Amino acid sequence: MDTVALRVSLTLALATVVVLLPLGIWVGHVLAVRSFRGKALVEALVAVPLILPPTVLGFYLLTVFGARSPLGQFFEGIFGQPLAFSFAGLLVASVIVNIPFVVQPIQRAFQAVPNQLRDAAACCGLTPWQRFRRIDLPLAWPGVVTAAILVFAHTLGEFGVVLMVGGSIPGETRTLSIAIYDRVQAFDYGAAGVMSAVLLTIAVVVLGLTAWLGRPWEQRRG
Amino acid sequence: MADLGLEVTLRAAAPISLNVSLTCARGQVLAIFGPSGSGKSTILRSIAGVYTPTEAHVIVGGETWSDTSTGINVPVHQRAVGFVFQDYALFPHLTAVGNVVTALGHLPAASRRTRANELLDLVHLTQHRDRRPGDLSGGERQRVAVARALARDPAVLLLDEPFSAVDRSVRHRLQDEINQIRLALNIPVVLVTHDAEDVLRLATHVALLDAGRVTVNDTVAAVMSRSHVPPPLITFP
Repeated sequence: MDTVALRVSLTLALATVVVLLPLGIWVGHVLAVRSFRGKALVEALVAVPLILPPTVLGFYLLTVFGARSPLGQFFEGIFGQPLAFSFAGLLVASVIVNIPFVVQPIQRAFQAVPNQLRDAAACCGLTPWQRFRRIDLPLAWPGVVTAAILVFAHTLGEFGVVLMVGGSIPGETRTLSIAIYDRVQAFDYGAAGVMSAVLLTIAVVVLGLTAWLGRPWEQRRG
Repeated sequence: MADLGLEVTLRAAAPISLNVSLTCARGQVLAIFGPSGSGKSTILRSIAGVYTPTEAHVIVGGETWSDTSTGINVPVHQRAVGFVFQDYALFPHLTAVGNVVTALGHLPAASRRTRANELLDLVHLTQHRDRRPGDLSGGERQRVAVARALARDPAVLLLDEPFSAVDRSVRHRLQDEINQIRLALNIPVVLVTHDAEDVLRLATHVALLDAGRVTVNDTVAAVMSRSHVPPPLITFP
């Protein structure tokens, strides 16, 4: 059992959720309640990681993160290390890959809040921020929780993009999925089996949590 | 300029044709009466500011809330409006008292709960103040909606088909209660309905609306005394 890889996986999944959730809530809310020119294009761009093969996405990210790219040079100039094949690069890639998994459930959750409740909240004297914090967000909360758990679970299982952008550097970019692949390549099916069981257990627990926390608030308190 | 309470002029071609000019003095109840799709709710939404037609001129208590000709458009949350929505639009995650407290942001935090309880007492909902809307009957939800609308200390009270979701016996009781409340308020009250009984039991004035235009606008007594009362006032279900 590669506990270091497990730690990298859990850290990456948690960091992805922490970075992506505020962004997802903002984008999901804007897409749900506002009409603006180019909205369909934004929605299409959000969904791109869903249909693009992970290796293709990984290739483009690797190109953008590379030492010769402006972003790679900028990052290396500030932090003194390359973005590609680093945990930071892995985190950026993970955030991009998971955008649809956080934005779409949250957008649907906000869309399910009747507009009349927003109107009523405004007539109650609530400012736009107060309406968001006290009405929209609590009512869309199951969708937000579902999105967070989906992102966490998806990041734990991500393989293609992780391999392309991060490689397999122990303690830095080697996640549990990569470690399983490495063990299988070495015909160490015992270790691969244990690690696979760990991921399976986490997936089941996470899905159970999603089912419970994602229920409407009326059912959850019962 | 004399304070007429509420002065409204609205014009729009789409999505619903609208061409109305209405006034409602303090203490009066103006019923806007007409069939579905005639623009009744749009008028209320325009007064509240949640909808802005092509041309809007809304003055409440001498203060201009909307004037498209000069670009004045006071944000909804800054308008002292009490609005009882057709389906009540109660916040389902909050208790009855929580719903009312939401509209008491203009009071110090320490006194909001007390004031909310007073308002729930006023609408005879003392026993159910800690229940959520899903646990209340239609009539009880309507009472919460009225208490929440009054919580704003409104300069105008807007009632959008407030009795459509309750049975007749509850409706009569609620009509009587709202009548007592509005007598104490001394603010303009605008009631949208397609039920003639609501007009007769609550309104002092009535505006008959047809396809976005006011066809008759007078006191209820005057309208009822005319021999040419338009059929809708009598025949709407």
